[in-house]
Amino acid sequence: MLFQGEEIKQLIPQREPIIMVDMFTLGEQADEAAATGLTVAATNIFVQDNHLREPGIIEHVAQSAAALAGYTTFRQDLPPQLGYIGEIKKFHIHRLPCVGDTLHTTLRVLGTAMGITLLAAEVCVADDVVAEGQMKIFLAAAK
Amino acid sequence: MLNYYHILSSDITSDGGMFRVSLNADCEVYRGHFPGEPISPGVCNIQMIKECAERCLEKGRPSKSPLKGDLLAPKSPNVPTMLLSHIKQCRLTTLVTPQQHPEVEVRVAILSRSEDTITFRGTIGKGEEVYMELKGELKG
Repeated sequence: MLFQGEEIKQLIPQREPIIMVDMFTLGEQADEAAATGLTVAATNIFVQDNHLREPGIIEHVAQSAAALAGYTTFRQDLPPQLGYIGEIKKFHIHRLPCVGDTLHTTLRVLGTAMGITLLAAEVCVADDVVAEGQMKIFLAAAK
Repeated sequence: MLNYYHILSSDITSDGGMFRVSLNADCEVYRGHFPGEPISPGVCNIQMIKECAERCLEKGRPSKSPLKGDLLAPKSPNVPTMLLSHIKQCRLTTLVTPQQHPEVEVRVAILSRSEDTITFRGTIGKGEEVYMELKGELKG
């Protein structure tokens, strides 16, 4: 199932101006949980001097994880839960994407326990890896 | 540029600095993070630590110009803009909100400097409390 543009709001609790994902689909490979995307608009709040700066890239990964969690609740007809970054590890940013670039991100789930998910993400622009690393996401208890 | 924080005072030494910072509850980012439940985005706090670290790397004598601190705002030409090339580890242990934490302290320790790489440790907290800690590398 493919979610694009406004449909992403069914999967994530974030809203404008901080929406940093505009595409989500389940992964096609066995070890790949999800694939997400973001096309960098000039109006993106984390763009400076024509580049998407570090917080935009990291938030894109966090919201990719949020969308993956949101896909589960979406299928249960529930709204997305609030989620928070608990930890970021071994996160490398090789270069900053430019306005107009499209980020293609793959997520792998390394482990899940008690509302905490550990993920590994790889963020590419065309064939270049621009960032990669691990993140722990906490989900707030459903209201 | 986001009107996210404001530096109230700073104390910069040769190997780091301490910044007293106010968080602006009216920043537009809270419209979306999250609607009706403003929580300071972890990534904005990471950027705030990085910008404070860059201020610790200012060339020449620290400028006495008014301390501004809008996120991703243009800086004094003597303050370098670096790439946060590596987050070795960043732990976010306390949720920060502009209502509960209108004023926080950002502490930066510069751990090593080579020609193009700076390693540093940064925290956001208040007094004895630490809300988040970041160990990372900046590249020039």
